Parts: sequence; C-alpha cells; structure tokens
Amino acid sequence: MTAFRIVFVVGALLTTAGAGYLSYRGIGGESTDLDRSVRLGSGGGYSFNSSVK
Amino acid sequence: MSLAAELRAISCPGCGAGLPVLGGGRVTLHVCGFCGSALDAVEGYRVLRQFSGLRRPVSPFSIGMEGLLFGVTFRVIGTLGWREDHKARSWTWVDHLLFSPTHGYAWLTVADGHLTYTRRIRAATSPEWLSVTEVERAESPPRVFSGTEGYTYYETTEARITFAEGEFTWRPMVGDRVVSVSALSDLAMLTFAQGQTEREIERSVYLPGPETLAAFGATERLHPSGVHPLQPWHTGPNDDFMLRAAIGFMVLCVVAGLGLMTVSSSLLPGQTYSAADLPVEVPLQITRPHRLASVTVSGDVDNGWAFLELSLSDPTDAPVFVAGREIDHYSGYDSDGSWTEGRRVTSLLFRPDTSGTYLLEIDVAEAGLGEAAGGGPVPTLTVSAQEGMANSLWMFGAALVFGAVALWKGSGPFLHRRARWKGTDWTDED
Repeated sequence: MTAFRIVFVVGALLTTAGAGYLSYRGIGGESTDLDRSVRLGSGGGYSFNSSVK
Repeated sequence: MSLAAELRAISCPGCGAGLPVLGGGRVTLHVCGFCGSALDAVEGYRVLRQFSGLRRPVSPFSIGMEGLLFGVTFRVIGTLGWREDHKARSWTWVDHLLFSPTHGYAWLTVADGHLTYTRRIRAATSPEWLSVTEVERAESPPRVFSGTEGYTYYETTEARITFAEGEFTWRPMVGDRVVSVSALSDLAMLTFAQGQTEREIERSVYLPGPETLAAFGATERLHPSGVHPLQPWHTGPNDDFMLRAAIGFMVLCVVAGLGLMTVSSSLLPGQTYSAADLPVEVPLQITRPHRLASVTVSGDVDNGWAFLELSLSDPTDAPVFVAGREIDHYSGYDSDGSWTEGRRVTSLLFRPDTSGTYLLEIDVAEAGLGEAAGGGPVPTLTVSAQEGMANSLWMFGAALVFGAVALWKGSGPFLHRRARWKGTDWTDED
C-alpha cells in the first residue's frame, strides 16, 4: 500500500472515529430553546399559571 | 532521430537554400522554409508562388524528425499552420505531414498542447458523406458509422492555411480554406474535409504527449490546456482505491449512525395524563449523567393547539431549565383532497450533570380550537423520556463527506466525457 493510501485510510479512520465519538456523546444534540437562566437564581417570574405565550 | 545525411536534396530556385527531399513519390508541392517559395515538385521545382513574411507556428516538431508511431517509422516532411475565426474568437493549430515509405502519409497535429494522429480512410462510411447542409437540416446530431464504430456530429469548422513549409501531396497555398465537418466517437474522430479541389474523410486518434515527443526526439515540453475531444479518460493510480474506500467508510458511517440511534435506554415509558391531572410532576431517574436525555410529549389536539410549559429540577431541587412548546394539529378537505398540518408531538433534549432523581413538571398554559386565542379544551398528554441518547448527525455528516469523495472519484469519467463534448457546436435550436 502506498503512502498516499495509508494517509487516506488513516484520515478516514480518524474522521469516522471522531464522528463516532461526537455522535455517541450526543454532542450538539441539546435543544437550543431551553431557558437555563433560572439556574442563576434570577427567579424569572416564572410560574405554571402564567401565560408565556 | 535526426535527418539522415544521405537523403536527396534540391536547391531552392528562389533563394538557393538546400531543401531535403523526404516525402516519396506522391509529393506535388515543396514549400521552401527559408524564402517561402512554393515549388512544383512534379515539374522541375519551378516556383509557383512565393509567400514572404510568414511566421512559423510554434511546434515541438520540425521537418526531418523521425519517430515511431503505432509501430511504423514516420518522418515529418511538411508543416501547415491553420487558423479558424468565428465570432471574435480564433483557434490555431499545426499539422505536420508524416511520411512512411511503407505506410504512406499521415498527419501529426499539435493543438492547444495536445497531439493527434490522423490518416485518410478509404473504408466506406454510412452515410458516405456528411455535409454542412445535412448538418444544418438535421433535427438531432447526425450519426455516422464506419465499420463497427458509431460517431456523433461534433462541429463544423472553416479554417484557412496561415503557414506552409515542406512537402505535400497536394498543393496547399497560404490563404486556402477548408470546410470540415467532424463527428466524434469514444475513441476517434471522423472528419469530412472539403477543400477547393478535393474532399477527404480522415480518422483521428489522440496521442500521448510525452511518449510521442520522446519517440520523435523532441526536447520541448507540451502544456496541454483543457480536455481535447479525443482525449481518453485515464484513471489515476489511486482513484479506484479512493472510490472503494470512500464507499466503504460511507456505508460504515451510515450503519454506525443508525446503530447509535438505538443505544438509548428508557427513563420513562409512555405515561398518559388527562387535563384533570395537570399540572403534573414526573420523576426521572437519571443513571447516565453527562449523556443526552430526552423528554417527548404528545397531546390529542384536534383542529386546535396547546401551549405546554415544562420545567426540570435536579436531585438537589435546583432548576435545570424551563421551556415552552406548542403542539397543534389541523386537518380538513379542499379541492385538492384531504390535508393535515401541524405536529402533535414535541421533544426536548438536555444533558443532566449528575445522576439521581430529577423532577419534570408539565402543564398546559393555554389551548385553543381553530385559530381562537384560547379557552379551548386542554388535551390529554402522553409523556415519555429516554437517556443515553446519541446524536447520529455527526456520523451522517461523515457519511456525506465520504459520499462526496466517492461522487468526486466516481463521476470522473462522466465529467471527462462532458468536457470532451464541451466544444461541440451543436445546439438543439439548429
């Protein structure tokens, strides 16, 4: 196997492994519309009976 | 190989220069490369015409060079410079007449750094001739057959001679025009050339540049531009490997991505809550912290909507997030038939920091029927949750990258064929 082919296969394996790790860990999968500011103690004035809409 | 010293030579009656006679018995015209005199090779080399101030076109080949083509030794005996002008564009190329004592005459052409080899053919073609008129009348690109090979119309050219030097088997003069109709197959080109006094059918094939230069002992290098219509497709040494490897990795990534979609475990099987149960608190026993978890809520909204409020607190009762989601579903009939729109299901994904019991609180803040602002019936909700989820988009993204590599390598022959046909002047409006 030529050096080019070795480099190509190694690159492809690294790409696959990297993508596999990111996929397995679920990286980037979190919903982006979750309001986490309540963790900072803002209180937020949020209650279940209020209308957020 | 250089010109052999024992070859016969003449003195140019125009300038006295010694001109080698290389071309065999069918030569009828000899053009002096020094003074431009066109000499009648049949009648004592008398001067027929004289062309002065001609610029010799650039070519790595010169008269007297000898080389092996297709197992036959040919010698360069003549050079013609050609030019075609069309709509403010111009094309130039150089034809070298070759002679072999055993195989006769052929052409070695230099065009845009590409080399082609052309011979007159005497085999029958079907149709026997392809004229400009027939091309203009045709509804689709005309086809020509010669033996078992089929050719498709490529272009019509009207070129004129801009330079002549050496020996020729007819009497080409600077300024002479030739109209040619060309048809292309996968391997060769047929050219139906109509000159002022004669017409010929020629077959051309592509020649590998470096090998041909070496065969003739030419030291210059060619710099081919673009793809020549006759240029065959050559697979690179790693192309097949890259294509197969890329397809393999693409399949691997797709399979792995689909497999990762099944690795999650259930935190909460589907639980149904009626309007009377709301707001409701649902415990979630997280056992795989730092991994992606999801909550899915569906409601039986029908031609209406509901706005859901969800909040999550961790085992220490600290809030993790709050979120609002709308679910809606509409259906009906119109002139196009039945239709539906909206989604009854919504999901949210989060990443818990610790293991333990989290508390999910769910309520319906508002609900409505149709497009009403509110006051509609609160739907029954079904809630489920999972943990240890993967995000397969990364694997599918990698599969796309490998697919692009496979497409790049796999489409090479197609792109090459398209490049070969790029120069055709056929348009469907013809």
